[in-house]
Amino acid sequence: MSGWSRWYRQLLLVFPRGFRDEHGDEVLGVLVEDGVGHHRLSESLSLIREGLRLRFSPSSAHLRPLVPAVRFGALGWFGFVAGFHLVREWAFVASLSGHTVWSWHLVVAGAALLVVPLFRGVVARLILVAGAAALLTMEPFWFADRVEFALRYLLVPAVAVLWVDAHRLRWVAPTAGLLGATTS
Amino acid sequence: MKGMRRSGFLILSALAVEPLHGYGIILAVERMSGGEVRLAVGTLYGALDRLAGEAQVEVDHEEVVQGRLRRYYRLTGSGRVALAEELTRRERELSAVRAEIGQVLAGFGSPEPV
Repeated sequence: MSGWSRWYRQLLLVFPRGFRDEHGDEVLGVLVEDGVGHHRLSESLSLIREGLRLRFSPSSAHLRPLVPAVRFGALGWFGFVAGFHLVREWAFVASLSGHTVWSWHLVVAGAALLVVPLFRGVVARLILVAGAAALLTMEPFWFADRVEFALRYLLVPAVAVLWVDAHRLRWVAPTAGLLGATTS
Repeated sequence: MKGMRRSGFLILSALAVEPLHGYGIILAVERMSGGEVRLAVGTLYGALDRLAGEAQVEVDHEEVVQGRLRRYYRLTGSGRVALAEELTRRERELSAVRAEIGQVLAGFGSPEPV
Protein backbone atom coordinates (compact mmCIF):
# COMPACT_ATOMS: atom_id res chain seq x y z
CA MET A 1 0.00 0.00 0.00
CA SER A 2 1.51 3.34 -1.01
CA GLY A 3 1.98 6.16 1.47
CA TRP A 4 -0.79 8.36 0.10
CA SER A 5 -3.16 5.41 -0.06
CA ARG A 6 -2.48 4.65 3.60
CA TRP A 7 -3.02 8.32 4.42
CA TYR A 8 -6.45 8.41 2.78
CA ARG A 9 -7.39 5.05 4.30
CA GLN A 10 -6.57 6.52 7.71
CA LEU A 11 -8.69 9.58 6.92
CA LEU A 12 -11.60 7.25 6.19
CA LEU A 13 -11.53 6.35 9.90
CA VAL A 14 -13.32 9.67 10.43
CA PHE A 15 -16.35 8.18 8.67
CA PRO A 16 -18.80 5.87 10.44
CA ARG A 17 -17.91 2.19 10.15
CA GLY A 18 -20.95 1.42 8.03
CA PHE A 19 -19.90 4.00 5.45
CA ARG A 20 -16.31 2.69 5.40
CA ASP A 21 -17.44 -0.87 4.89
CA GLU A 22 -19.83 0.15 2.13
CA HIS A 23 -17.82 2.83 0.30
CA GLY A 24 -14.20 2.74 1.56
CA ASP A 25 -12.67 0.88 -1.39
CA GLU A 26 -14.88 2.77 -3.80
CA VAL A 27 -13.69 6.16 -2.48
CA LEU A 28 -10.03 5.09 -2.71
CA GLY A 29 -10.68 3.89 -6.27
CA VAL A 30 -12.09 7.28 -7.26
CA LEU A 31 -9.12 9.03 -5.66
CA VAL A 32 -6.82 6.88 -7.83
CA GLU A 33 -8.86 7.62 -10.97
CA ASP A 34 -8.92 11.30 -10.11
CA GLY A 35 -5.13 11.14 -10.17
CA VAL A 36 -4.74 12.39 -6.62
CA GLY A 37 -1.78 10.11 -5.91
CA HIS A 38 -0.44 12.34 -3.17
CA HIS A 39 -1.56 14.15 -0.02
CA ARG A 40 -3.80 16.77 -1.53
CA LEU A 41 -4.92 19.18 1.18
CA SER A 42 -8.35 19.96 -0.31
CA GLU A 43 -9.18 16.25 -0.67
CA SER A 44 -8.05 15.55 2.88
CA LEU A 45 -10.12 18.40 4.27
CA SER A 46 -13.22 17.38 2.33
CA LEU A 47 -12.92 13.80 3.58
CA ILE A 48 -12.55 14.98 7.19
CA ARG A 49 -15.47 17.40 6.86
CA GLU A 50 -17.83 14.90 5.27
CA GLY A 51 -16.75 12.14 7.65
CA LEU A 52 -17.53 14.31 10.67
CA ARG A 53 -20.80 15.41 9.11
CA LEU A 54 -21.90 11.82 8.53
CA ARG A 55 -20.84 10.86 12.03
CA PHE A 56 -22.49 13.71 13.90
CA SER A 57 -24.92 15.45 11.62
CA PRO A 58 -28.60 15.07 12.36
CA SER A 59 -29.10 14.93 8.61
CA SER A 60 -28.01 11.28 8.69
CA ALA A 61 -30.90 9.32 7.22
CA HIS A 62 -31.83 7.39 10.35
CA LEU A 63 -31.93 10.52 12.52
CA ARG A 64 -33.60 12.87 10.06
CA PRO A 65 -37.21 12.27 11.15
CA LEU A 66 -36.27 13.19 14.73
CA VAL A 67 -34.55 16.47 13.93
CA PRO A 68 -37.48 18.93 14.07
CA ALA A 69 -38.76 17.44 17.35
CA VAL A 70 -35.27 17.47 18.91
CA ARG A 71 -34.62 21.06 17.83
CA PHE A 72 -37.97 22.22 19.14
CA GLY A 73 -37.59 20.31 22.39
CA ALA A 74 -33.99 21.40 22.98
CA LEU A 75 -34.73 25.07 22.38
CA GLY A 76 -37.89 24.91 24.43
CA TRP A 77 -36.14 23.20 27.34
CA PHE A 78 -33.25 25.66 27.18
CA GLY A 79 -35.68 28.58 27.27
CA PHE A 80 -37.75 27.13 30.10
CA VAL A 81 -34.72 26.39 32.28
CA ALA A 82 -33.24 29.82 31.58
CA GLY A 83 -36.48 31.66 32.36
CA PHE A 84 -37.15 29.62 35.48
CA HIS A 85 -33.69 30.05 36.98
CA LEU A 86 -33.25 33.66 35.96
CA VAL A 87 -36.24 34.65 38.09
CA ARG A 88 -35.15 32.38 40.95
CA GLU A 89 -31.58 33.73 40.99
CA TRP A 90 -32.72 37.29 40.69
CA ALA A 91 -35.10 36.90 43.64
CA PHE A 92 -32.49 35.05 45.70
CA VAL A 93 -29.66 37.52 45.14
CA ALA A 94 -32.01 40.43 45.68
CA SER A 95 -33.16 38.95 49.00
CA LEU A 96 -29.54 38.63 50.14
CA SER A 97 -28.47 42.14 49.26
CA GLY A 98 -31.76 43.88 49.89
CA HIS A 99 -31.89 45.49 46.48
CA THR A 100 -32.12 44.56 42.82
CA VAL A 101 -28.97 42.96 41.49
CA TRP A 102 -27.91 42.48 37.90
CA SER A 103 -25.32 39.75 37.82
CA TRP A 104 -23.66 39.02 34.50
CA HIS A 105 -25.35 35.62 34.52
CA LEU A 106 -28.74 37.29 34.56
CA VAL A 107 -27.79 39.82 31.91
CA VAL A 108 -26.20 37.32 29.49
CA ALA A 109 -28.74 34.52 29.84
CA GLY A 110 -31.65 36.98 29.74
CA ALA A 111 -30.22 38.82 26.76
CA ALA A 112 -29.64 35.50 24.96
CA LEU A 113 -33.31 34.66 25.36
CA LEU A 114 -34.40 38.07 24.15
CA VAL A 115 -32.10 38.60 21.18
CA VAL A 116 -31.70 35.09 19.74
CA PRO A 117 -34.81 35.52 17.57
CA LEU A 118 -33.12 38.41 15.81
CA PHE A 119 -30.21 36.33 14.54
CA ARG A 120 -29.63 33.16 12.64
CA GLY A 121 -26.84 30.72 11.82
CA VAL A 122 -23.49 31.12 13.54
CA VAL A 123 -24.45 34.29 15.43
CA ALA A 124 -27.56 32.66 16.91
CA ARG A 125 -25.49 29.67 17.97
CA LEU A 126 -22.90 31.93 19.65
CA ILE A 127 -25.65 33.72 21.54
CA LEU A 128 -27.04 30.38 22.72
CA VAL A 129 -23.54 29.29 23.77
CA ALA A 130 -23.21 32.47 25.85
CA GLY A 131 -26.64 31.89 27.38
CA ALA A 132 -25.82 28.27 28.17
CA ALA A 133 -22.47 29.32 29.70
CA ALA A 134 -24.21 31.92 31.87
CA LEU A 135 -26.69 29.33 33.07
CA LEU A 136 -23.95 26.85 33.86
CA THR A 137 -21.81 29.29 35.82
CA MET A 138 -24.64 30.54 38.02
CA GLU A 139 -23.96 29.91 41.67
CA PRO A 140 -25.31 26.44 42.43
CA PHE A 141 -27.94 27.71 44.84
CA TRP A 142 -30.41 25.21 43.60
CA PHE A 143 -28.20 22.25 42.84
CA ALA A 144 -26.69 19.91 45.36
CA ASP A 145 -24.64 18.26 42.68
CA ARG A 146 -22.86 20.14 39.88
CA VAL A 147 -22.63 16.98 37.78
CA GLU A 148 -26.38 16.65 37.86
CA PHE A 149 -26.64 20.32 36.98
CA ALA A 150 -24.34 19.89 33.99
CA LEU A 151 -26.09 16.78 32.75
CA ARG A 152 -29.56 18.21 33.11
CA TYR A 153 -29.01 21.74 31.95
CA LEU A 154 -25.88 21.94 29.84
CA LEU A 155 -26.38 18.99 27.53
CA VAL A 156 -29.76 20.12 26.32
CA PRO A 157 -28.64 23.66 25.42
CA ALA A 158 -25.56 22.09 23.80
CA VAL A 159 -27.85 20.06 21.56
CA ALA A 160 -29.79 23.20 20.77
CA VAL A 161 -26.58 25.02 19.94
CA LEU A 162 -25.37 22.26 17.66
CA TRP A 163 -28.59 21.58 15.85
CA VAL A 164 -30.78 24.61 16.05
CA ASP A 165 -32.03 26.42 13.02
CA ALA A 166 -32.68 29.48 15.10
CA HIS A 167 -34.34 31.41 12.31
CA ARG A 168 -37.23 29.05 11.76
CA LEU A 169 -37.69 28.23 15.44
CA ARG A 170 -36.79 31.69 16.66
CA TRP A 171 -39.69 32.18 19.04
CA VAL A 172 -39.45 28.82 20.79
CA ALA A 173 -36.75 29.73 23.37
CA PRO A 174 -38.18 33.15 24.38
CA THR A 175 -41.72 31.76 24.64
CA ALA A 176 -40.54 28.85 26.76
CA GLY A 177 -38.44 31.33 28.78
CA LEU A 178 -41.56 33.37 29.55
CA LEU A 179 -43.36 30.22 30.56
CA GLY A 180 -40.44 29.21 32.81
CA ALA A 181 -40.34 32.67 34.40
CA THR A 182 -44.04 32.67 35.19
CA THR A 183 -43.93 29.20 36.74
CA SER A 184 -40.84 30.01 38.82
CA MET B 1 -39.54 26.12 -0.96
CA LYS B 2 -35.90 25.79 0.00
CA GLY B 3 -33.60 25.33 -2.97
CA MET B 4 -31.38 22.34 -3.57
CA ARG B 5 -27.65 22.58 -2.86
CA ARG B 6 -25.56 23.26 -5.93
CA SER B 7 -23.56 20.05 -5.59
CA GLY B 8 -26.74 17.99 -5.24
CA PHE B 9 -28.33 19.73 -8.21
CA LEU B 10 -25.32 19.10 -10.44
CA ILE B 11 -24.98 15.46 -9.35
CA LEU B 12 -28.66 14.77 -10.05
CA SER B 13 -28.29 16.50 -13.42
CA ALA B 14 -25.26 14.36 -14.28
CA LEU B 15 -27.10 11.17 -13.34
CA ALA B 16 -30.19 12.20 -15.33
CA VAL B 17 -28.29 11.43 -18.52
CA GLU B 18 -26.99 7.97 -17.64
CA PRO B 19 -25.79 5.93 -14.65
CA LEU B 20 -22.28 6.99 -13.66
CA HIS B 21 -19.65 5.91 -11.15
CA GLY B 22 -17.90 8.30 -8.77
CA TYR B 23 -15.20 9.57 -11.08
CA GLY B 24 -17.68 9.75 -13.98
CA ILE B 25 -19.89 12.01 -11.85
CA ILE B 26 -16.93 14.28 -11.04
CA LEU B 27 -16.17 14.67 -14.75
CA ALA B 28 -19.82 15.21 -15.76
CA VAL B 29 -20.33 17.82 -13.04
CA GLU B 30 -17.20 19.64 -14.14
CA ARG B 31 -18.43 19.59 -17.74
CA MET B 32 -21.98 20.72 -16.88
CA SER B 33 -20.73 23.56 -14.72
CA GLY B 34 -18.50 24.83 -17.49
CA GLY B 35 -15.40 23.84 -15.57
CA GLU B 36 -16.45 25.86 -12.54
CA VAL B 37 -17.17 23.00 -10.14
CA ARG B 38 -14.65 20.25 -9.50
CA LEU B 39 -16.12 18.09 -6.74
CA ALA B 40 -13.72 16.83 -4.10
CA VAL B 41 -14.15 13.09 -3.57
CA GLY B 42 -15.26 13.59 0.05
CA THR B 43 -17.84 16.16 -1.03
CA LEU B 44 -19.12 13.82 -3.75
CA TYR B 45 -19.66 10.89 -1.41
CA GLY B 46 -21.16 13.08 1.29
CA ALA B 47 -23.66 14.36 -1.28
CA LEU B 48 -24.33 10.87 -2.65
CA ASP B 49 -25.00 9.60 0.86
CA ARG B 50 -27.43 12.45 1.46
CA LEU B 51 -29.18 11.94 -1.88
CA ALA B 52 -29.41 8.18 -1.29
CA GLY B 53 -30.88 8.90 2.16
CA GLU B 54 -33.53 11.00 0.44
CA ALA B 55 -34.13 8.14 -2.04
CA GLN B 56 -33.16 10.37 -4.97
CA VAL B 57 -30.27 8.18 -6.18
CA GLU B 58 -29.60 4.46 -5.92
CA VAL B 59 -26.95 1.97 -6.94
CA ASP B 60 -27.36 0.82 -10.55
CA HIS B 61 -24.62 -1.80 -10.80
CA GLU B 62 -21.03 -2.53 -9.81
CA GLU B 63 -17.99 -3.58 -11.77
CA VAL B 64 -14.32 -4.15 -11.04
CA VAL B 65 -11.85 -2.39 -13.32
CA GLN B 66 -8.10 -2.98 -12.84
CA GLY B 67 -8.81 -4.41 -9.41
CA ARG B 68 -10.78 -1.35 -8.29
CA LEU B 69 -14.45 -1.35 -7.42
CA ARG B 70 -16.66 0.94 -9.49
CA ARG B 71 -20.18 1.48 -8.23
CA TYR B 72 -22.58 3.10 -10.67
CA TYR B 73 -25.43 5.31 -9.46
CA ARG B 74 -28.69 6.26 -11.16
CA LEU B 75 -31.58 8.59 -10.49
CA THR B 76 -34.70 7.20 -8.86
CA GLY B 77 -38.21 8.30 -9.77
CA SER B 78 -38.30 10.76 -6.88
CA GLY B 79 -34.85 11.98 -7.90
CA ARG B 80 -36.23 12.84 -11.34
CA VAL B 81 -39.17 14.65 -9.77
CA ALA B 82 -36.86 16.58 -7.41
CA LEU B 83 -34.58 17.54 -10.30
CA ALA B 84 -37.50 18.68 -12.47
CA GLU B 85 -38.90 20.75 -9.58
CA GLU B 86 -35.51 22.31 -8.93
CA LEU B 87 -35.09 23.18 -12.62
CA THR B 88 -38.54 24.79 -12.65
CA ARG B 89 -37.75 26.71 -9.46
CA ARG B 90 -34.45 27.98 -10.83
CA GLU B 91 -35.97 28.96 -14.17
CA ARG B 92 -38.86 30.77 -12.45
CA GLU B 93 -36.43 32.62 -10.19
CA LEU B 94 -34.19 33.56 -13.10
CA SER B 95 -37.15 34.79 -15.17
CA ALA B 96 -38.42 36.89 -12.28
CA VAL B 97 -34.98 38.41 -11.70
CA ARG B 98 -34.54 39.12 -15.41
CA ALA B 99 -37.95 40.76 -15.56
CA GLU B 100 -37.03 42.97 -12.60
CA ILE B 101 -33.51 44.00 -13.51
CA GLY B 102 -33.23 43.18 -17.21
CA GLN B 103 -33.51 46.82 -18.25
CA VAL B 104 -30.87 47.86 -15.74
CA LEU B 105 -28.51 45.10 -16.86
CA ALA B 106 -29.02 46.04 -20.49
CA GLY B 107 -27.62 49.45 -19.60
CA PHE B 108 -24.40 47.95 -18.20
CA GLY B 109 -21.63 47.64 -20.73
CA SER B 110 -23.23 49.93 -23.28
CA PRO B 111 -20.90 52.78 -24.17
CA GLU B 112 -21.50 56.17 -22.64
CA PRO B 113 -23.01 58.59 -25.14
CA VAL B 114 -20.52 61.21 -26.25
